[in-house]
Amino acid sequence: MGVNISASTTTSAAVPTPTFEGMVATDRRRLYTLALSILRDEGEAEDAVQETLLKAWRSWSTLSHANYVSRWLTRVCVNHCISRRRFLRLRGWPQLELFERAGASDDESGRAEVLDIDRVYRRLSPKQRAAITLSYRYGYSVEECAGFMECRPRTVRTHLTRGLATLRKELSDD
Amino acid sequence: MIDIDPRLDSELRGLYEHIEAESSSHALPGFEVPGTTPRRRILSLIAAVASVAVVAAGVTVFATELHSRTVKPPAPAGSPSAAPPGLVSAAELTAGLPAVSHIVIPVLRGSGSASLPTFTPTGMLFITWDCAGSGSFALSSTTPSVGASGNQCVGSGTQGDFVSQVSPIDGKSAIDGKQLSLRITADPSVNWEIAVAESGPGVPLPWLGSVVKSGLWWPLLVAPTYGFGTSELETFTPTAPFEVAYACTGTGTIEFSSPDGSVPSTRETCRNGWSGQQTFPTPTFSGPVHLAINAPPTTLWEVMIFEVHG
Repeated sequence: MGVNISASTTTSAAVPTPTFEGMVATDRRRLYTLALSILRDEGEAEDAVQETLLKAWRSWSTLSHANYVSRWLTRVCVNHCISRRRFLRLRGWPQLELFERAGASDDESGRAEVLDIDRVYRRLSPKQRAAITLSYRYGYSVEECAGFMECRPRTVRTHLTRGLATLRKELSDD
Repeated sequence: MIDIDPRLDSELRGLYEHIEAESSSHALPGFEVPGTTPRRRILSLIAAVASVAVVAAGVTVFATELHSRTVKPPAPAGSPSAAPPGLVSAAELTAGLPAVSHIVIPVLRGSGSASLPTFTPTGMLFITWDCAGSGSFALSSTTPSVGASGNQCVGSGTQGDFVSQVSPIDGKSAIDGKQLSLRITADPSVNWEIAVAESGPGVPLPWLGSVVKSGLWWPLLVAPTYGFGTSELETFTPTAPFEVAYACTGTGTIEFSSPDGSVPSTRETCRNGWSGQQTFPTPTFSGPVHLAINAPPTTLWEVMIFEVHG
């Protein structure tokens, strides 16, 4: 482990360009986790990532020179997730069943608790899930969430308040 | 960020940890660049039908025009191409980053000297790089705590990594919450690639340095050192039995071995931040001890070595 620092004397300061391949390698898993948090369906989350990367690929010539690639990807992915859930619901898509994965955890009480909140979480609207995910899970400010969700900060606050109130109520009823 | 009661906080944390586990166990399909976009195909079809129906004589001209428009999609700059000769792929470069980290600067490639984008790190910082060509490669930054020098790229596949503590566990970090700029100083003929990740708030390991500060365990042979995956520690020369104090993340094993056989190999199980100690007898020969650590690539570890007297 080299922990020394070298004095830099050169004056050139070329900023290297990120590669599309590098972006895919580093952001794909992050986007998938984000999409899975909002959609709660593995197939739909995969589609969201694919669509986001496709849009990035089409815009890469301009996007690669920007210093906001990660935020751009997040915004596109979040909006795809929100609109996708709305699209499916309007077409009467059946409510996705509660997942069951044998052996995912050997702590039965902890697992039951997770299933409980997951069941309630899935009943929230996609925008409420997106707001909670971005704000609680990723720690973005309300203003940043509004940027990602392409709405006003006040709207984000409403989604957050209602989503969390629903979770609180449903969990206390159980 | 948001006002949330302890019970809901605990349940939401459990839910998102569950989603993280679900995500990391899911094999993602590779991204395939389309040959022709669907929108273009639809436009081509409509245009062709319209041209046939309206003006038969114009079909040939129109089809020719259409063909010339739909030959290839635009090739984006830095499109998904293979890594330059001598460098590993972006996936390989970042595959070994600790599981507890997330990327803050995605894989960047270049040659010669360059400045990387400025960012504000939190938690622990992980830098992984790869260089190819013949010449020097050094990493420096706006703080003396982050950087590595004295690396020579010899031919291809010279790889390295660097871990730095950012959060002020000892109360005097020079990095936490401050903007950090990294700079690469390399010979023009050296090609390189680099990626930077951080742990985020909450350092995932107990800080062994606090033990050193307490002055309980001396003399110190190797100061607390962070790393991930397989690595060799700096050499040391014990004059008495010595102890290796360690902590590691994940659930794999961490193995201590000596390439020259000067100390016996031992293996322990990591239990998500669990720490322990291994005692080794005084080596039977005089001279420096080379101690290597073998752990899964995504396991983050911290090690320090001190002599045991009495």
